[in-house]
Amino acid sequence: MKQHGGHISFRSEEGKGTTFEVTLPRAEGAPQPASEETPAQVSGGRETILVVEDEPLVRDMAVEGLRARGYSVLAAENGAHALQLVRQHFGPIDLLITDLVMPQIGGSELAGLLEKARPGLRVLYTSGYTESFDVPKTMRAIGGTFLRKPYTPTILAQKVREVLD
Amino acid sequence: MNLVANARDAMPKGGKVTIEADSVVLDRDEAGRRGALEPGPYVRIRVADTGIGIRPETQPFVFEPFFTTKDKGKGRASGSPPASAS
Repeated sequence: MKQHGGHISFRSEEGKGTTFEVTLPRAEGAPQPASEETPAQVSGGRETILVVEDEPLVRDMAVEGLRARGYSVLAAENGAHALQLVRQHFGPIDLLITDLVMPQIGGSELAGLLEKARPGLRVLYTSGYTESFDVPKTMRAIGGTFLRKPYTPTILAQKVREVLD
Repeated sequence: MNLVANARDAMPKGGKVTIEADSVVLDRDEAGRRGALEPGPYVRIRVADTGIGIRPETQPFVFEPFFTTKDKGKGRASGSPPASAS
């Protein structure tokens, strides 16, 4: 919520109910993605990318954005699904893009498991909870690149080339 | 969407969910009470249910990611990050 400059609160009484209140800044005019830069100049590629993201809207946006730029994309909604996809996929997987904070199997645990099956797998982590942990320190510890959510398809594509090249 | 699903799940015996949205302009006081927002134009959305409520001892944890008091497989956690649509 803080990422959007908004606030959420609630009041609740046992047995009587709960009211949540969400306050979001009112947009004036057309929405403008944060720091979108020269979309046309972001190049695509032919690599195979595994996208693991539990939020369907974010996952679809990432998958569609990457496919539109020529990538082969495998998409999973959680760690267990990702492991299953990788077992069934006999071609190369060049890059894992995974949400860092997920129930059951978290992003770094998943990367660890997949790297055993696919040594040298490159990893791009995403998360919206950048206030709850030290990003640079975490990335040094688990070895990966980080992209903060929310991101646009263009920013994602940019980051993907950075990691792959 | 999660808030509405949670409201439904909080009412196993049925009840009423009320969803309201309005445009507000928050002054410095009102903005300050909402996590130190900047004063200005906002959209306010309220989702109210007439369900079981949240126990006082549970309330501090409501906004933790993946927090839930529900049985496994019964919807997303009430604390599912409200910002998760980002």
